[in-house]
Amino acid sequence: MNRHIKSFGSRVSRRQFMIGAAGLSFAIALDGTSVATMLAKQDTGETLSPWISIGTDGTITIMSAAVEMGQGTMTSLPLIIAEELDADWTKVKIVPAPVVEAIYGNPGFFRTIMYTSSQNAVSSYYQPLRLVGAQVRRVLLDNAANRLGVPVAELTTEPSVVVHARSGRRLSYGEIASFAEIPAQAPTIGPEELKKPSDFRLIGKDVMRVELPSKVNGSAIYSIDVQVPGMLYGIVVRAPVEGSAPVEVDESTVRAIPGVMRVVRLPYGVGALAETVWAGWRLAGPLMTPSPGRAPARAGASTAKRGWTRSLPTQVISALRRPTGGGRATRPVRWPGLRRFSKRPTVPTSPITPRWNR
Amino acid sequence: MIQFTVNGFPQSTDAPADTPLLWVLREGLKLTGTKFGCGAGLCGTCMVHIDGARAFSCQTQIGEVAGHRVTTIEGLSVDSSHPVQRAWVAERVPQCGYCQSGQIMSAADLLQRKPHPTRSEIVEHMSAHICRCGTYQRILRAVERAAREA
Repeated sequence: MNRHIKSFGSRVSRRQFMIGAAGLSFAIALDGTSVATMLAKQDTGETLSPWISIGTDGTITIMSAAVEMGQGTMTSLPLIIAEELDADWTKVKIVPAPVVEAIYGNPGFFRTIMYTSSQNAVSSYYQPLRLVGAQVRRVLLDNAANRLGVPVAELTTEPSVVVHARSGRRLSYGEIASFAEIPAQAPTIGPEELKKPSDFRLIGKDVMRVELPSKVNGSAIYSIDVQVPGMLYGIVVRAPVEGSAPVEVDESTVRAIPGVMRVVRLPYGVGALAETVWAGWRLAGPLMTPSPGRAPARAGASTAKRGWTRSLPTQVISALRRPTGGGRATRPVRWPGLRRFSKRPTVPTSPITPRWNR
Repeated sequence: MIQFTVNGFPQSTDAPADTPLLWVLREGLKLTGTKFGCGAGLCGTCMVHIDGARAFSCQTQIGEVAGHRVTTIEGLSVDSSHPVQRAWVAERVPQCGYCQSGQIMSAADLLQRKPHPTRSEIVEHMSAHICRCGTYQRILRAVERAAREA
């Protein structure tokens, strides 16, 4: 789930487009909230960031622009495209989109950010993605009309197949992908050309969430599961009460803990970089002398006397890459505290290169 | 060197003996299906089986595991075919899914010892777990389904 195709970077030219090695790819910029413009040109060997790729074997790969957090977004956004594209859902492969705001950004936020929150993914992407799907379907229809030598108006689609009812001829989307040409300008699709909801084959139907099976066998990857070679764990051992701070850190004891790389005193606790989570956590308790005198009155002195907490807020684990050069770390990675306990820890993995060896 | 078995395969680790089994599984063996939730045995997210019975992997020191058999969610079945896993899909239990590895390991533990538990026995047994998405009703239905269809 964390494998991404190489992306354009943060900006995309309005002409950037590609045809995949085996089939068609469609890079489409969502223009505002109501109009989708397809950007097309021949593949020039540039990196790819398509919304939709149709393989000659009929596999249809659709990017999912929003993060899956359990609401089924990873399924529902591609489903919107597949509906208007009239894709065979069993042949659809969903790939998490790379971070390219200009292409995949949330239309509800003017595509400035790939934002998944506040129940707005489907409502923001719904109309633009319907147009995307309809435009790609139109390109396939136009190409099929040329190949069959019939007016495009005589063609219809069934899932992943263009049908010419009068002659009984059929062309699968995969077949069309092998010869299709992409127009320089995206076809214009009027709202009246979109499917009627009564004709929907997918939207509103009982469709299995694509990621759900990965959540019953341990294969779903969460942010805390990301591991890179040589990774370190950044851990904050927090003071037991708000407002208290470390008075003293016994550096020699700290250094004796195997796997602890570095300790940083913080205004609200102690930060550690360690090779394992456990090595970092062993810092807590016996190593620090609490400062009960600085505890706020409402917390109670007895709390402060218990010492430093080891049952850490889960969001403070961040991962740092092992340093490769000299110098020292100047910017610890911090994350604002969550306001309530969340079981999925918010765990950033930061590819930074601290300079801490002087 | 501590030697033990994970999902049928012999493993060994040079982690300090007080290291929780959870971190040996996740960091050492890269079996990240077992999740960290609270680190204090309060939420059930880290549940595994040791010698066939459920155990909090965050509360089990690796030293205690020497010579024992550990089963994680990855080893419950090779193809998600365990009755509990099938029931979890059929009832579409997971939302975010983070707690579900632990929930499934506990449910499997229950049904192994008591193939046809009552509803209150299920509730009692599964109360070792917290689900912040609130999938409890589906969990109940899934355990009942697994008991029915196993």
